[in-house]
Amino acid sequence: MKTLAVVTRSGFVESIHQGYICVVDTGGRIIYQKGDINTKIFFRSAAKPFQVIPFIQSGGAREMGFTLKEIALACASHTGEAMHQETVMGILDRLGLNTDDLHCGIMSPYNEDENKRLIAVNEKPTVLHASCSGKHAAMLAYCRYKGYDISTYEKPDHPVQKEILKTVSHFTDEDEKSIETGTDGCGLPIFLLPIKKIALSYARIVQYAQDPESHYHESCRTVFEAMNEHPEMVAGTNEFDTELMQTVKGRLIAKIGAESVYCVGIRDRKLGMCVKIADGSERAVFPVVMEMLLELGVLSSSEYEKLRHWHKPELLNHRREHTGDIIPVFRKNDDIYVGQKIK
Amino acid sequence: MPQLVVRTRSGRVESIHHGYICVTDSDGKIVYSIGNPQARIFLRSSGKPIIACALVKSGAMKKFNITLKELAVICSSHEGQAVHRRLIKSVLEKIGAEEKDLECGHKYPENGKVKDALIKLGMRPTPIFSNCSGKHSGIIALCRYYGFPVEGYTREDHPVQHIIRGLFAELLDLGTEDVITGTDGCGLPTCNLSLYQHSYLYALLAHGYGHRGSYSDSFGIIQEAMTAYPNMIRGKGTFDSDLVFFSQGRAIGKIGAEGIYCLAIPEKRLGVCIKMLDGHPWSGYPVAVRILQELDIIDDWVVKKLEKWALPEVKDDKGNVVGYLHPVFSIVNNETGSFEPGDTFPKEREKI
Repeated sequence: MKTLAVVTRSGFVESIHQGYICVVDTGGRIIYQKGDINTKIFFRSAAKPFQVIPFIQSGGAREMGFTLKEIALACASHTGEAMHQETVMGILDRLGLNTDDLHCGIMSPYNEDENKRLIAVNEKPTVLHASCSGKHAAMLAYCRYKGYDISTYEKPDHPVQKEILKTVSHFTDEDEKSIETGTDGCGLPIFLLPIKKIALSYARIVQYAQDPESHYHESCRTVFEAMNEHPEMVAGTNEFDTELMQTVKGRLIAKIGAESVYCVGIRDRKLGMCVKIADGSERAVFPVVMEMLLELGVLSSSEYEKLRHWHKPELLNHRREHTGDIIPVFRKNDDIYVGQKIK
Repeated sequence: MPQLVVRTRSGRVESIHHGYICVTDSDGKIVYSIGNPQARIFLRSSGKPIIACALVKSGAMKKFNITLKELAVICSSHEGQAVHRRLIKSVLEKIGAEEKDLECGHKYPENGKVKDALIKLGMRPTPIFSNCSGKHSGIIALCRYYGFPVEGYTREDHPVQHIIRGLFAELLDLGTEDVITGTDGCGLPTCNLSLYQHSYLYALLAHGYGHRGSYSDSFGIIQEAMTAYPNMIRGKGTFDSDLVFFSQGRAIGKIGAEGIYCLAIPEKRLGVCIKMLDGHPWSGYPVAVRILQELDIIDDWVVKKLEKWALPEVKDDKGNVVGYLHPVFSIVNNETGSFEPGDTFPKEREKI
């Protein structure tokens, strides 16, 4: 692993974040790399666009009347705002199911205002606030469409999960039997894959979206369009995924995963990128992704201006004074150390 | 960079935390270390018990009748509970200051219940809720004692800060001008020292009254305060407080922001400074517990009591345990982990 970003305080390096970066094209050729890109990581929520593909591919999404907005939410780690809750509830209503049928567990919403509102009015968070509830709702819809059992959809041997594994195997070029799984935060099986193969899957999803000959064309195009038409569904207000896709509209898809996994599929150059911060810290991943987007020439200067607060975020103390910054350093040097004077 | 802790999921390594450790005795000799003990860090909140020395040594504590319990809160990163706030108010009253004199800024208290109560009331946290308000009240007490203006006491050029830098310089045998500071989360200057220097300061705290240095009585009183009132140094049910409580003062622990954890071990006259290099806020706990186990300071019963920090669980959103934060080093044998993400984590090591 390589040093990717540093956190500074009063002109000194206070903390360091190491990790891995891989950018590949659709043939798996390495365009950029930092660290050993054969390292295996859990795909976490960055896998969501692939977890919805069997549903779309089967014709189920169309048959069940799924809108682009609902598909975007199926690809989301949403922040539990009212718009997200309503959209999940809308799917459940249409299926004649209720919140008990979602097996993702309950979590406090990521959105600070919604979280505070719940506390203020003495309400408990529900399963609708869980960031994965859109994905789970789409899986229930797929069960209904196929006539699968809905009460065990999260189990690794359930047909929905088996089909998802097959899809992930195809997009990552990894033998289905060799893909190990663990348990994700929402209880679903999640795949352990080499970083370069995760990057490959994002290159392929943007390639297939543009290639009418591809077997997966419709599904990939739908996912690409959904995430770009409704970036507010993919994460939420003031979130990086949302702001990035709103700003660079139609040219990429971007998705965060827990423990600091980040994936981007870049449409025109048909590139896939995977970043993993080794210590799992979220604060470092956005600056690193921004730096990579600059390196790859993806952002225009006006787009960069809109997103620059994610690139080198200023750190403020409790008196709102600027005490330091998070700075991506991997393009310049990576032998930087804690305590080093910087600037 | 040395690996100290790995985070697992379903038996695989998912994330990795690196860090440095320095263990020093009160003669200033490094007893054990991992990584670079000369690496410079900001002390952040782990500097609080050291800063409190200025208050005790000056005579201000005595003059204002500050109690041991109040001293413990002055050394604390407290949780903002009513008991902490009451003690700080009491200090402010004794020195003729008010809550509005506190310049520590607005920060929600660490204690979830207190934070939720503020949100329910639609209240912005006032400075007294800040985990640093005890330290600030102690520094205002120093200003009062020396007759300095209270306003601006957090500025680097304020005379009270010169006194604090002088304290560190004297303890570490440096020139006052050699004590470099940065700005802390609460706006106060925070010293930039090596892990070695900082662990030595904790060794002085550990040695307390018995040390030959001129601050031994001050450190002795601070050690007494932190040991006598474990819940005042952070809050009931937190790692810092439970460590002192269950070890019965055989280990005194203090958290600092950006992955710092410090220990004073009185019976061995040892000080420990841990810096998690990624700044991770709680991976220092399993590191601290592992060090204390290796040095035979805490027995299995205490470790069991500290289980949720010794081997923190990773849970899914339904509350199932899917992994742990495992310490993967030995301070005594100078060993560190050599895992990569994705590696299998040996099952037999899944114990404390």
